[in-house]
Amino acid sequence: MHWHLKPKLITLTLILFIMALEKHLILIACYGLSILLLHFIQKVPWRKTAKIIMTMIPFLIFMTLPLLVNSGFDFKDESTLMALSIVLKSILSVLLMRIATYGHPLHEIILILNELKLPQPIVHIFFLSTRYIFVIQKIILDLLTALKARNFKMKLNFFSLKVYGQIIGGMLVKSMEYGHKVNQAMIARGFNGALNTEILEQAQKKDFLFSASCFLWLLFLKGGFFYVQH
Amino acid sequence: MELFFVQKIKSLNHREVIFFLEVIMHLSDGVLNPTTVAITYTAATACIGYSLIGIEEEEIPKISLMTAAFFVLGMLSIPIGPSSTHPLLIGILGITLGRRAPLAIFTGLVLQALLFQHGGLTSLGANLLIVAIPALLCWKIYLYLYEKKVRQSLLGLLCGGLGVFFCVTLLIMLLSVTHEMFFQGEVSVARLLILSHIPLMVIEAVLTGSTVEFLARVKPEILKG
Repeated sequence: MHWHLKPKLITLTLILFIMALEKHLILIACYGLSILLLHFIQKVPWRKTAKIIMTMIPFLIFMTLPLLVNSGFDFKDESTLMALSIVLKSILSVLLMRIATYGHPLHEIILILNELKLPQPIVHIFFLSTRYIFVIQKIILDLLTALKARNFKMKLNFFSLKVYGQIIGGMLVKSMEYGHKVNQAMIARGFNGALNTEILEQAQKKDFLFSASCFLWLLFLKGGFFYVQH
Repeated sequence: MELFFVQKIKSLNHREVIFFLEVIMHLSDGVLNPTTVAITYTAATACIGYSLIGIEEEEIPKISLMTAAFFVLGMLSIPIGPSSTHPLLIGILGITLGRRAPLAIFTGLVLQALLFQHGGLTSLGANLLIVAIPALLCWKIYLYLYEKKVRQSLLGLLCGGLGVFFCVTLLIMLLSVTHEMFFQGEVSVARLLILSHIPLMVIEAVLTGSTVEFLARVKPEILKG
């Protein structure tokens, strides 16, 4: 289902904040089921989402295992509930971010940040950085290939770290010189501090309706939970 | 703060790119409480505001390139036993970008959230402060000691090590205001955090020392922000 990026980004960010700041585990689980449903409706590929969640496992173990060990894995203990809450919220946050960004190229997301009145210098830095990442990544990969060709193997010793330090230094010098050239080229082409960006299509009524229905559903869940509790 | 974060991202902007990120200081969503989130967001906004003061157009390409450079350089892999780590480059970030360092860090964090769904949005303010404040402190320390004519490699060594030290200290401070549970028991989260970052502090110190020494020899104007 198509959902315009602007209302989608705003809605999902707000939902993320509501979910992440929620204290009741049952309510978080209810939000979780709704987010899973939204993930399904938006047809976000599960395989990649699962891969991203898998990469979080070491972090989650690091943050929650001490809490679980200290509580003796007692599921009524506050520490265990806290650990469960961290695990749930971290996973749901990834799901929400996946839904928010899936199907939209990075430049489109940055254009939305521009429309959301982020300070202009920050938007420009975003635009230029995303382009430069690919340039610098290529230079670094070439450099690493050159090192490999000279039989250099990275080890945890003073010599290797010194070589890496010099590589970093070299890269910063190159970046600085390249940045100066780019700036000169931009000024020569009439750059006056304003980046002209493409105008995105406007959000339609159905996009706002879908956003509103998401909030209403959250409100219904929260209201229902408090009704049952009291 | 995220340990052993290994991620393969394919089809990034129609190009095949594989990024490996491990041991990165990021708090994910759900760890901080609402009060801490509100305070850190306010402080982070102030930090960005301070960083934006007096910014000029010609600085933007330089900051963008340095942001991209730090973003990519932070992915260099350094093996530690069966695992590996990545440099944080907090010290060198502060030394080279000075007061503009928070802008680069903010961009990097948002890009990580958008590209890898890594980090968190509620913890964005906290994550920014955890890295930006040490970077700014390293910049100030570097400027102060530079005038005292301390050797460049020693300065780099100090800033590199202190960058990680300040980072962990801030992280622990944030966890302490969030919940006391992170400090309870023999194997507490805080204790694990300190122990796991000691090797990183040494690595970062040596790395920053040699980088600063190289830059002072080849292009000294990059230093001092």
